[in-house]
Amino acid sequence: MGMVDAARVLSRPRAPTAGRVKDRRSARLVHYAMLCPTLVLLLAFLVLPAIYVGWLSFNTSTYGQDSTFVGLANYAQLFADRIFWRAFWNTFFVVNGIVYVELLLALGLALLLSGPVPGKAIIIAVVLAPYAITESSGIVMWRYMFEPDIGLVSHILGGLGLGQLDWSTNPVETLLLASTIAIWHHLPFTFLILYAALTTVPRDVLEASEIDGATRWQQFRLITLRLIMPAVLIAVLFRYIFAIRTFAEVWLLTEGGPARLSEVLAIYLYREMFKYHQFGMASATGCFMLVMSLVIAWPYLRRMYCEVMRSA
Amino acid sequence: MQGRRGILKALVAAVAAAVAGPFAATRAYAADRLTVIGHAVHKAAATTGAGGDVTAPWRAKQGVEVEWLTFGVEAANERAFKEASLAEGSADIVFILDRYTGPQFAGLFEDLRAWQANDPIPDFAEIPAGMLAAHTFGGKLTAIPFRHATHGLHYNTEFFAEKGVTEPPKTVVEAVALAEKLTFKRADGVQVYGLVMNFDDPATPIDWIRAFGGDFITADYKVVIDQPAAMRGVTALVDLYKKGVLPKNSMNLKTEDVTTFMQQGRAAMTNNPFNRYINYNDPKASKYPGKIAVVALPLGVDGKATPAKTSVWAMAIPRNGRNKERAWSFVKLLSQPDSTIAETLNGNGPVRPSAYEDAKVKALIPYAAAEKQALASARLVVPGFPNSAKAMDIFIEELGNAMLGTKDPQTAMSDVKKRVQPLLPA
Amino acid sequence: MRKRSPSLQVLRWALIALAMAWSAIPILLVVLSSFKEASQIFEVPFTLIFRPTLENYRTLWTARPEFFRALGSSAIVTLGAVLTAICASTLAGYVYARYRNRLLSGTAFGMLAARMLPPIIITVPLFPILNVLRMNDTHLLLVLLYAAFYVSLGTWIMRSFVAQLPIELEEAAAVDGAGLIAILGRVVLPLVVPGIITVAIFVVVFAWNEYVFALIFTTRDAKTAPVVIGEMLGTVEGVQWGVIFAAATVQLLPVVTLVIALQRYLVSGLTAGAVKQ
Repeated sequence: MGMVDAARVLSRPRAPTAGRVKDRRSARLVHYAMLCPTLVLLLAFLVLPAIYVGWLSFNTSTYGQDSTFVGLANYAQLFADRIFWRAFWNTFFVVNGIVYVELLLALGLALLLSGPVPGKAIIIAVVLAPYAITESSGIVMWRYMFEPDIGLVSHILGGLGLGQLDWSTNPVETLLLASTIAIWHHLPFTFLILYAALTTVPRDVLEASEIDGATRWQQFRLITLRLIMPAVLIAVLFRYIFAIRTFAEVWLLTEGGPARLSEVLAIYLYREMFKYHQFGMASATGCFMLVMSLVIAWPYLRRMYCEVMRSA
Repeated sequence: MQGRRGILKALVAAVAAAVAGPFAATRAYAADRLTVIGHAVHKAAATTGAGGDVTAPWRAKQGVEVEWLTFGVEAANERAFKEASLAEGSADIVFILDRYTGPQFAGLFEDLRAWQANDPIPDFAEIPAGMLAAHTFGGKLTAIPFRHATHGLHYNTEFFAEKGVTEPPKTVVEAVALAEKLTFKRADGVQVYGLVMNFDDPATPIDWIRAFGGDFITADYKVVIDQPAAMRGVTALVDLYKKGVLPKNSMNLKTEDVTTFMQQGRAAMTNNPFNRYINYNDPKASKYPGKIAVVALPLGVDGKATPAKTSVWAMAIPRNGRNKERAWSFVKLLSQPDSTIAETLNGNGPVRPSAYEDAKVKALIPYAAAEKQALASARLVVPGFPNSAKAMDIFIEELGNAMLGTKDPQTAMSDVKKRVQPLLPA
Repeated sequence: MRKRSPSLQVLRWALIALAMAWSAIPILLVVLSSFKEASQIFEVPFTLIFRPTLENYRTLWTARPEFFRALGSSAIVTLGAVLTAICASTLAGYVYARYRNRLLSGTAFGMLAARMLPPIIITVPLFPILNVLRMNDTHLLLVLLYAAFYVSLGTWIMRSFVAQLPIELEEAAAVDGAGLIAILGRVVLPLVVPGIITVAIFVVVFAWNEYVFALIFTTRDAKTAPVVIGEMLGTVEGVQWGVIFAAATVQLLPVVTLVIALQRYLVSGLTAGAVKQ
């Protein structure tokens, strides 16, 4: 079966059966076996340890001591901690800011680069570069660029009369800079998913609609967006998953300071785990973050479920 | 497609071989090895430099190799505790820094008093009591001190000369006034700050608080940070910050940032470990090589020496180690007086004050006398107790509030007392 | 093809240039700084014109040779993780795309939920267990771990790519007598190459730069490059930024080269066929 045959099959007038499963087909044993590598990896390295972590959140535990069951004490301590709630709200705003701004930028960029563009290989390589560089080096450079008074960008801002970004003392501006760095670092991730999805939009469908007189905006809204929606949902979902863990961007800027005002949940967890060695508390924080991710991502999960079920 | 398949197959085979190889020869305990977990400086101190390889004769005599597993500072301590917590560890010796240990971990390590009694380290009494106390919990000695890093006052002699100051400040009051005087704009427009400090470690502000006669937590676990003496120090710092003598982004400066400040001539003074002298004056990295001198911290308001902050790396023997006799023999080796001198020549901060008297050391290290002087009155940041890390975080947080102006200093420090009090041992 | 107005073209190129500048500038700074003398890297004011030196690279070569050995480890681990993740994801993605029942949906969404716990906390139970299994400090462990981290995303991406393909293709092949393996290998695989490349790029970038798990689970044999860079940052005697930036630059090159090489495969197999026709 070669390319020519595939093209011939595809050039037949297409009933909307792309992806449809014949009702008679049901998964055989061999299909479940094909799932095994993935499921075994996930079970062994993620699910089973996660269950242990869930149990650990109801205990006190540190190096060299047996865990002691304490019931909900860890959660009580967590929810009574003013700093925890500040970290929560900081994380909440940072995460939502990152996900949506990045989505828009990535979509725009993917659209810009879809279709023939000279030198695309180099352009895409440059666009992907921030994702490829070691995180700490990139963040250190951003930090230096924004160093008060002497940094490159600070210099320019000052020269333009825009004042300085007071990220070292003002937590809002710290988180703004951290979010910007996070977007800079991860934009290639979202971009890549959307770009790859855009390549699957069949050109003949777009051309047909053009002949029918559709404007570019209508093309995008009614055809392209609908076709790449599954990819958009995946991109948003995973960006949420990664964004809630934002750590290095804030840590390398201010370590969550000053006065723990710019702290995010990942830093709170880090402190409990590596500074205070309280594994029970760290587990409780981790479990909270899991629940938080589920709650925030719930609308997207539902939408994905509908998409998956719809194409059945 | 065929060519690609072939390449793919070859790749898979290569990877499988590479992956399976090391897996086959896994990290089982090796009887012919002594495994040490620590930081690169410890390995360097013991093996490379002007003092030579201290371990060579021992290795020859014992017929074993020494395997140094080195990590970053925090990672080394983490790994030490992780290995020591396993049912069966593979580390014979681990290096621990005082700020990461505590009485809650004492059970992980051997009580070295017994070992010292049986097979003593020569001239053991020379090791300062304070350093031993840093690793002693409930009477149990968990580790033998190996390396110290004590704070001194570094200052830029060129800036001093510019402002007509010939000598470093003698008292803390002088130092504060000098810091104000030395805050100015350089000829090329760059702002110079009279004093720069890193706030990732409570040690740097606590030096100054102690100079004013105050303290954070006393050795008998009393919080005194809200007392008048300590408040003098806190208000002095807050004032310096408000006046712009301390950089505006002080609160998120780390040690490396302070190094950069000094190297780039953006600050006139700092209190940091003595051995930073080498970095500040490094001709490759610094714009002021040879111009930055270091002395002991200025005298306190009571005219006595200010207890400089010191941190102590020490060697512990995990209880789950498999050849503790050999481990102790190695610890003894590294702690001997002659080994200590060799290690100092290799760049280590010696725990034996007598090492500073050695002619070669004096020749190699210009600040030897000053460091010895500081060592005599040095003190840990906080005494060891299980929640010490949390207490330190609370102090830095409230100090940040005071400096930012969100709370007035007295309220901030009273809050510190309120929050830290329940964390102290009963 | 609709003709694009020249002003829109200009706007398009302006935006692309902006995107490239935004992406590239911090990285260029890192690369440039690796050729600067130590005293010039963070100097005030920032200088673009300087006398370049290879000092940092020389120091990296002589004083930190373990970095290059670590690059080798990184390469092994990355390659292994990519192959494992792609195989597992493609197989699973195919099943999820073509079949539907409650068990499958449950596991598919369970896969997503499993990824929501911050990974760092699972090192607490994993470290002792893996130590007992003698898997600490092995390449195999990192390969499996990294693959485990990306099979969720990989499966969902492959699922969406396979779902795009009309089922007629597979049915036609089945009618011609092809078995499951033949269908997968000769019909499905060539047409989902952009999906595979996407997953591959994610796993490569992740595995190549991953720090936390490499730090916790390797000691000496399997130490990867980011761990060595981390050690250089956590040094007691003063951080040598020039050497670190040199290391970061060296680490960046293979990934960028790979991305440039893989970029053309991101074009869908379907459209390639249509163009040929």
